Amino acid sequence: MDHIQHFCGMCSIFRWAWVFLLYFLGQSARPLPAQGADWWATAPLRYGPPPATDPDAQYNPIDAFINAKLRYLGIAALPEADRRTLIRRVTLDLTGLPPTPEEVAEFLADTRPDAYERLVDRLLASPAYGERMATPWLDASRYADTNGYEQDNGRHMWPWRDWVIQAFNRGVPFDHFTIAQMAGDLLPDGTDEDRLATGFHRNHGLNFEGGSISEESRWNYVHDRVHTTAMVWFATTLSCARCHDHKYDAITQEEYYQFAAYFNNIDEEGYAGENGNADPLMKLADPEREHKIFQLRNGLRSIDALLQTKSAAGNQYDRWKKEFLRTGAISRDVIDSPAWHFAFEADQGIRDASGEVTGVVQGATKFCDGVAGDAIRLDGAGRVNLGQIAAFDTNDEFTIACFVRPEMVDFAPIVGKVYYHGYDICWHEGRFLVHLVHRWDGHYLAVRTQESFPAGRWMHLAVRYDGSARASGVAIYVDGRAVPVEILADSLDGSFASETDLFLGARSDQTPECFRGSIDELRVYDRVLSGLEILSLAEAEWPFSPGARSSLRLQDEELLREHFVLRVDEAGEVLRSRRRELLEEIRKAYNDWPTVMVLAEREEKRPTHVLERGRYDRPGKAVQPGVPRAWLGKNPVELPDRLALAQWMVSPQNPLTARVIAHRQWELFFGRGLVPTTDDFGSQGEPPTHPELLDWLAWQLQCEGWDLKRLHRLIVTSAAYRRSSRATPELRAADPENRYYSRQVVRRLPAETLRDAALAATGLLDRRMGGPGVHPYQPNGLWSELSFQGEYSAQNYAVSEGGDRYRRSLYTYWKRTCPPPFLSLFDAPDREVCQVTRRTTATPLQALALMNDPTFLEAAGTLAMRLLKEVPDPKVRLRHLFEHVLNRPPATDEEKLVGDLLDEAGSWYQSHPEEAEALVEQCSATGVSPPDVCSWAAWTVAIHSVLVSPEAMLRP
Amino acid sequence: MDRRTENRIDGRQTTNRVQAAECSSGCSRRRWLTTTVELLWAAAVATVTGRLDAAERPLAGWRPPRKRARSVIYMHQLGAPSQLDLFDYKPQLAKRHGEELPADLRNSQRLTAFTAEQGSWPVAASPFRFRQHGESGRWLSELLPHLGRVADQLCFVYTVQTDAINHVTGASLMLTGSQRPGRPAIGAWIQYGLGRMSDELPAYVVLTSKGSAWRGGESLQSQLWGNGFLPGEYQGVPFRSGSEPVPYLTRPRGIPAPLQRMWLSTVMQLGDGVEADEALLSSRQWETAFRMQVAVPELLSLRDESPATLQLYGPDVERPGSFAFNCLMARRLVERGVRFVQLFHRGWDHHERINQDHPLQARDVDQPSAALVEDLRLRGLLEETLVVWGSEFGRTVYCQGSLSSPDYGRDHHAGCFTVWLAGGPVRAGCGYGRTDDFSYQAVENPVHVHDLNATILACLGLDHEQLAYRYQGRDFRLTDTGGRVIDDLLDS
Repeated sequence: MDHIQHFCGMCSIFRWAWVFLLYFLGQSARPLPAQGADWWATAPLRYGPPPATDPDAQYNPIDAFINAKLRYLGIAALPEADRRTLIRRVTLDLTGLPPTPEEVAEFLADTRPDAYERLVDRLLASPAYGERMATPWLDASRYADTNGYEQDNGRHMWPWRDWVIQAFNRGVPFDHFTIAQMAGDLLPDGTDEDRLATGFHRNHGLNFEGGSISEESRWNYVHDRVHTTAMVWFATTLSCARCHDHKYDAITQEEYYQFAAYFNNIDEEGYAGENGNADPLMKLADPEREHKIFQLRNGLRSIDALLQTKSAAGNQYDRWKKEFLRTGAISRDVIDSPAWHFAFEADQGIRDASGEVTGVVQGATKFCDGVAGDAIRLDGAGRVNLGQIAAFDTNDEFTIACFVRPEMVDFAPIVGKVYYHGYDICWHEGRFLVHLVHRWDGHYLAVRTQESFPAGRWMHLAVRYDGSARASGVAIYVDGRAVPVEILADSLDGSFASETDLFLGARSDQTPECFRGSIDELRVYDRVLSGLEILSLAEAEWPFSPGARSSLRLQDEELLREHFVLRVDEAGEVLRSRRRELLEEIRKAYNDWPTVMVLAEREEKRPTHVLERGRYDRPGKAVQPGVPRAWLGKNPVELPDRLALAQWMVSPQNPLTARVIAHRQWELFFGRGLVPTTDDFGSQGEPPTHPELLDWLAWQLQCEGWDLKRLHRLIVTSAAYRRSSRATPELRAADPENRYYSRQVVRRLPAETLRDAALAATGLLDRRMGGPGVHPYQPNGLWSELSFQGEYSAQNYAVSEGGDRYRRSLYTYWKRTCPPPFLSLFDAPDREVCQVTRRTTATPLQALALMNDPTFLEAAGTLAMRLLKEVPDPKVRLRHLFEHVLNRPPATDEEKLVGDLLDEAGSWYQSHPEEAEALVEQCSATGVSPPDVCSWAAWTVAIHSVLVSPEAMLRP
Repeated sequence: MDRRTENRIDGRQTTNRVQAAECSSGCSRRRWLTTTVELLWAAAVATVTGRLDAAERPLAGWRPPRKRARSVIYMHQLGAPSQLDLFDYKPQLAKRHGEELPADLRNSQRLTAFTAEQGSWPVAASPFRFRQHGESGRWLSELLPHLGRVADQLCFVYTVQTDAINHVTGASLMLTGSQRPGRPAIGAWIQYGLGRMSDELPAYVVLTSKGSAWRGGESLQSQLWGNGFLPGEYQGVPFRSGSEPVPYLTRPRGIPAPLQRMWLSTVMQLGDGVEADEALLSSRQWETAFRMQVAVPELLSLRDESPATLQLYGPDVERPGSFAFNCLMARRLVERGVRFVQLFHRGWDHHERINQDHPLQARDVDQPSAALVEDLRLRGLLEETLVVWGSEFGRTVYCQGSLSSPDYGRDHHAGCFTVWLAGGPVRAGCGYGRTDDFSYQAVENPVHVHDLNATILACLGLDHEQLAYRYQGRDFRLTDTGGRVIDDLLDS
């Protein structure tokens, strides 16, 4: 095609015809859907040196490519922009903030030949660079501060966001940036930071809607990761292959699920997100907290040692033991004062001994003969609601005892008070099983008797819990004797307080399983009973053969010691209460330990199947992890796991990702990519306008250690980047979309920059970096009108106090179902799904926000204060205003315009001083206290007009 | 300024009833389309890349209905009302009350985690009496006496089917055509296809209300009125009931209107001659924003409504934030040229206490819904306004919890539920589709969500297969890969 170009380029009279023709040829030469090994995007990088003979390549090799094409086309490029434009452009592009008047003056005065390069280096080293570069990455990774879906409550992922900012600032090479986020958990020598990076793939929403099906949600997370990875690193839409073979691109449904297999083995639940972050988690390093826990644990150890010696120690115990063996009796004070006692006598109904609590029968239950008088019999469908009693929590001690005669072998709760949280005591195939549940997704403990017991006979059952949050703190007694238990789960790490009532024969009124059998003499104690007390309790209404009684009690030294320490020895009680306090402090220290959601693989591999029509409940053929052949080009490889995939993605074997990333960096600075369809490198997208340049840039990445800063420097120091943006009508006609980079383009600032620029130009910006999301102004009631409410976090909005109102916009708390309204209005995505491009639109609602968002007015007020103080001459002041906001002096007509507004507003406020006072009140958060209120108010209004004027919103 | 917007605004003054095809022609013309050469280029680019916006395509092969609506009022009942207790009359269920629902029927759809392991799924007949209404003889529950009076204006679709069984995914499927987020909502699609008619108000307005039985829950996600991948101008704008009905409508303290007027003229003049390669706020848009500060409070004030009208909507109408207030507001909005008004009424998710709570919710919506239809008809607006009353799914015939308890409820049900339509080309007094004896599955004329949405678009003269948008290499449409217009619902 070159000869056509050349020929046509010479004949400027045919310019239009050939532009059209060239385009047409370019388009029709596109490969058809059967893109295979020859597809341009996956073909090996064609690295050639830039066209060397180009005399225009005065800045850097990029221009050699650009200018060669322009020459062929016969398009004359614009010259370099003026210096004021240059510094404003490059500062906004590299830091997302405008330059200060001092920086502009310095640059204008710098006559060294490399003044611009020095400027660029200063900007690349500025911390604001990382903040600027992070923003598109947050869009791509669908970063938000809430879980989305129905409750949309808060999560804790900002440490990941801060890591991204720092990674850009520190110049973490993009290949490691990729590997860490894709598979930092699998790196053999991976650091905590690498694990933190994997938060990228946990930034999707979490579904905790009641009744939702966990597996369906989990698959949605997997699909989300597939979609995001394909879009961010391959610029390909895989989603259509979820249900069927890709319509346009050569990607089959089977390949889709092979790719999904990389993300299908995360150790996670679909039904998750009730309390913010969901497993898998990593605890963030917190040395202070670790030290505190270390100290608390030391304290615990010494108390345990003291308790040990105490119970072993001498005289007192021996005296008591002697006395006990003589009388064979212990005090019944504790045994006889349970907090609740239900005797289940037919003539009294289901009633607590105090008479205050009455059970409500649901379904068919009746009274029958029991151990002591009557008992209650449940038929496997009914349950008894005992109301809001026995509301124990993780730190509480309790003992629950009853006689029970199961008539079933499988599974049913005997006593329960659990739905999302709570506790239960169950009968499970002949064994007794106890759950204490903070959350069912791995935050609970479960203890079960090793021995199994025959159904159909009365047994005395007692369960006691010592408030330690450990499985070792749960003991089960059958017929008065502690029985050996197995620990099924021991990860209770939060409250198990439950809102449900206490139920007999069920866990709650919502759960389907019901007990069949009889229960008698239910006693609930809000303390731990000693083994001896439990034995006495069982014996008091002993229905068994009388033989085994006293021998047991007399022989069991441990039983006696335990009772002594627990009930008789007063010093023991002091130690125990201190022990409880320590345990509570340790638990608290662990409880609010900041975490981040990360990736972690399941030990037992979860098999992946092709899902018919994409449905989670229609698994078809089993598949192994693999990459779509279309991405592999001519280099088929075996990539068994996520780490191998990540490493391959940024390896020289994969030119596609290098192209995608290089292309996206280009787009940052020119407003359009080298591939016009940024989000589609597939067959439906357009081929690159400058394929050689794209390959050269991609090659630069691969060969120069994936150094993004270096690439950014290369791009912004090119002549192409530095061109003027004042397009002549001829140029607009010749290169309307600036496909050939004959000029720069004037773009509206991205939403975040728009707001940050106003804050920065006026000196109101709070430059603190990182930390939890902040709450700047937003219209009242936006959240509360839509949110779920209930006990969840992030349901109502409260504006931050102090400087947090004026932080950079990327720190704004991002509620997924109700994103920051100002940013949304200016085309920020909602962060529900991965997005790699933003459109720019103009709507009246944007104008409304610029008029009335207090942020802009307060910014104007802040600058007004400063200018009034520092610059006495109003004319000079006006010039300063323009220098601050637009980085240039005003034109004569502008001086007059704004001057007129100043006069008008000034006299208006003179005649309405109360309005001027109201404006001071409005801006009070910024700390303004103007000596001359009316003058300040007029200046505020004038500055506000320049601050939201069209030019202030542009990157020139 | 983008020419597309200009076209549409111009179109408004002269032709309020501008036809869909006319209004949408000329969409997406780029700003550089000024000379014939460029036109040639544009045509070539468009043809070769297949990048014609759908609305620009000729509506070949599909004949839109003779009458077309120009606006839509969509009343979404969030939480899912029970079709069995409101619309879908099943007298024979009384005899089966307490019987187990046949297992094969029960398993013909997915059960939620609420009741999947319930162990027993007894049939619960509706405790509410039904009677016939109007010439059409439609059966309606005693909970809906007012709707009964306008039954002859309505078209009931008894057999709407969905794929989702949870609220967030269900509402998303109904309103964006996808269970997962990221797609434009139906109002955004319609605005994209037909453009805007009002200069002073957003083209797509969202009104929300909390029902009498709402006790938390049933949250709203802004993606239900989001623009998805369409440009931001197509985003729905939530109006709220508080002091600031539209975000950023309230002037800051110390900046009263006369001063802001002066300020604004300076801002606009500072913009004279500023050029950009991307959409910039035009003077017209600044003016519009300024005027909205008057237009919106005027809109929300009911002073100019007659007592008879207020009475029609019932006692709640004067309470901002009530469903009745929002219904009247919807009429006022479409009167002023708003293209799409989306109402949400929360509080229908009755997993328990359905027999106590459904009457409360029904009382919230019955009179206002009926009044809206009647009011539109009296003003001659019903012809050009499509009214949709629906939800994300229905509720099960079997009870959740124990049937012996007075507090039982009903679970989510995807197999069939009732949506009614009115206005525009919709066939009045019609009942479409038949469900089985348990209102569990459609036995005649099932209508999938995509079919319903295809039909809604058809009511506006839009072809759901043509109304597409290229994004990330794929043509997306509201009806995804499905959808079929149900011609029987429309007057031919």
